[in-house]
Amino acid sequence: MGISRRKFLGWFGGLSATAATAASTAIAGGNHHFEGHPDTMGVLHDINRCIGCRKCEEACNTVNELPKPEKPFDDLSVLDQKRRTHADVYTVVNQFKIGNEKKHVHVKKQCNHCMEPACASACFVKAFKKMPNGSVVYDESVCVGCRYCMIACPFNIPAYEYDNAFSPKVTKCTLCYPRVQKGLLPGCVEACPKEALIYGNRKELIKIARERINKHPDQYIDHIYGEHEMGGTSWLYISGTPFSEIGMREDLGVTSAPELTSGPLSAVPIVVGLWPVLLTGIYAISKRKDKVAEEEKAEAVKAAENAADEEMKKQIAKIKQDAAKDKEAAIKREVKNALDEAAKEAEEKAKAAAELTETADAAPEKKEDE
Amino acid sequence: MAFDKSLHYRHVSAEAIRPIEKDQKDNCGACHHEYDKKARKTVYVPGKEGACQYCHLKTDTKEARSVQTVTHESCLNCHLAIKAKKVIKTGPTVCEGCHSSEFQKSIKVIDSVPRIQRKQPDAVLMATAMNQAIAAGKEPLMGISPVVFDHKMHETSEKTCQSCHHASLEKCSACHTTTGDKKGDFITLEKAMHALRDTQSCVGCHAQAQKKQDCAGCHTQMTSKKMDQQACKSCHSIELADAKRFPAKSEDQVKLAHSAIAGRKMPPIAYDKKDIPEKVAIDVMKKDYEAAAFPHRKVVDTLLARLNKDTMGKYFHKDMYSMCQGCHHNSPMTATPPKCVTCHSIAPQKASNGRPGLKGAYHGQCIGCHDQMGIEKPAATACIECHKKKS
Repeated sequence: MGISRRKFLGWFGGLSATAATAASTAIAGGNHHFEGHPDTMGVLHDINRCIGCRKCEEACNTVNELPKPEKPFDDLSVLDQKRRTHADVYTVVNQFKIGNEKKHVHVKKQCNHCMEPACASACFVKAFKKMPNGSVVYDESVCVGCRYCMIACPFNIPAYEYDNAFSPKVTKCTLCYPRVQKGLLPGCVEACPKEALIYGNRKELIKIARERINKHPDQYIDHIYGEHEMGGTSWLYISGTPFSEIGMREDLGVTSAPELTSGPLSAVPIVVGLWPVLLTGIYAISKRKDKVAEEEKAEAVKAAENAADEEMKKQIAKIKQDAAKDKEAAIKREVKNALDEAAKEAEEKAKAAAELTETADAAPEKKEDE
Repeated sequence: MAFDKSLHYRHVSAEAIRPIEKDQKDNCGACHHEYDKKARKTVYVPGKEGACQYCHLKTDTKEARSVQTVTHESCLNCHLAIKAKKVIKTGPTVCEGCHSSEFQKSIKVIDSVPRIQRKQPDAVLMATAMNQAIAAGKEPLMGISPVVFDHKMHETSEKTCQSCHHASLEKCSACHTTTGDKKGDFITLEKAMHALRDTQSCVGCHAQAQKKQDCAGCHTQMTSKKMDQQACKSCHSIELADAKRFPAKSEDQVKLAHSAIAGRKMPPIAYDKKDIPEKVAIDVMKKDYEAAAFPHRKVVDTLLARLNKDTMGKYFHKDMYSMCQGCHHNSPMTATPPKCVTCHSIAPQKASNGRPGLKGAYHGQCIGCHDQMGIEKPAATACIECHKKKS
């Protein structure tokens, strides 16, 4: 018997724990805490102000020169269905009905431009980059199309041009990086008639958001979505409706994706270095154990065999002895029986002879009487 | 469930619950009682009536059992006793009778309930600091002007006495002293009167009233914290030239209070038509749409009509053009407020101080107000109802 599954997993767990401890020590030693680029810009989406007019969607479509959709942007019937971003739709507005209230709540959805993006950390060719101004931009020239970014994104944003057979790209909102470089506002922000979207320095936006919440505590939930979610995002949201009721995940935690994965990932070199040694070791140990066990087994069998032999001999001897004894006893008994019989016979003969003699004796007497 | 004025009156006027004791002229003693510690029993003391919850708290205390226990015992037993007599239709004797809102709707409500008689004042002159000085034998100092409180009027507008008198029917300053006291949970008189987030304070209750649909159009968009000089004067309205004119005797104070309330004339608010332009063309920015012809006077007339429905609204908007500040905010009360574009920029720009641009300001106010006041047409997304699309 070699190594049990339980034992193997136990060893592996021990190794991972050691690696993780080593990694976290390394981070603490470096005292590294990335708070984002100081002048990161962002957008504050005041969900209370959004009326669901889809002007932002239209502007996004125009400035990014995307194909026109089937239904025009002033057709609000598309709001009846929950939508998500697609290869040629970088932003969507979704409509939510809350309880029995007559009014609807509208929420715009697009790339949140994380402070430390999960897509960038998942990408092994560095196709995604967080720019100092806040945009998370994509470089199609290096992309290999693995779509790890799509799996990594906690907001389900990056989309893929599945219908482009030869040079498919990953697509998503760029926070209008080219427009912003020219000093313009992002297309959606400029188009919003209600200023439900405002573009500015992220730190300023947080102050503005906080001020709105403080001024109208009964109209807003006391939470700025995106201030800390996934380590913070460039897009920020305030709302009067709980975020979980309007399709926004509240289970993401406050740790950025790279921070979450850096521990285990930093263990990779250790694991890669150790694995050959470890596995060879495990193999050798298990082999040796097998061999030892084999030898032991053989010895045991031999010993057992020997022991059995001895026993057998003893038993045979005993049986033989017993048999001999029996034989002897039988002979004796037979002899005795024969002797007894013979004796009996002899006695009977003697008796008969005696009787005969008596008769003979009497007869002469009778004869004599006659 | 709510034991409101209407239900109270129905119990007051019910013959079936008249106490047997001959010295009691009315029904009060059937329910209201004090605890006589010496005699170890409850007794009725006329003039000491208060809400059950003043003594019977949410849970049992050394002094009294929980309000849940005593209401289930007293109310229910009385209802069952009357039901057994089969004289009149009695109050609920099953759980849902009190605990289901559906059933509660079927309970008869009396609209014009006569005033509860408990020797409460009609009007109060609130000048605690000055009265304290007088009581101490000092000359009162003229601080903030005293407030005249129309107690009688508030009795009709509130559902129960507990709307304000949350712990006893004593006057506010008995517990909420000017410096704070353990009895009043160290909430000073100033806080008790002005706490914005508390529905039992004057300001807090009035702030709640601003959430009514007729008021919400303007007030939802305003910062509720703002209390300016003008706002203080609305209540602190007894203007005395100096402290010597302050009446020391309480009966003179009551007289002053009554004359101040009698002088409160609240005619419907109306503005001079020539001050209110009929149409305002909003044409400073035209990109995708034509100029909008804003029906200014129609909006003002509608707001005035809805404001004049409400006594409190009229009282607090009696300053000329105060209602205009709903839209023309941050401007002095004048017939010629500055144009919106003076403060709200036309060019789209980065957010720096949270002040909206012109487009956001207009749409914010128009759509926000329509939304709050229940004006469904035009819909917020019906762009061309207000401005034609450029061809």
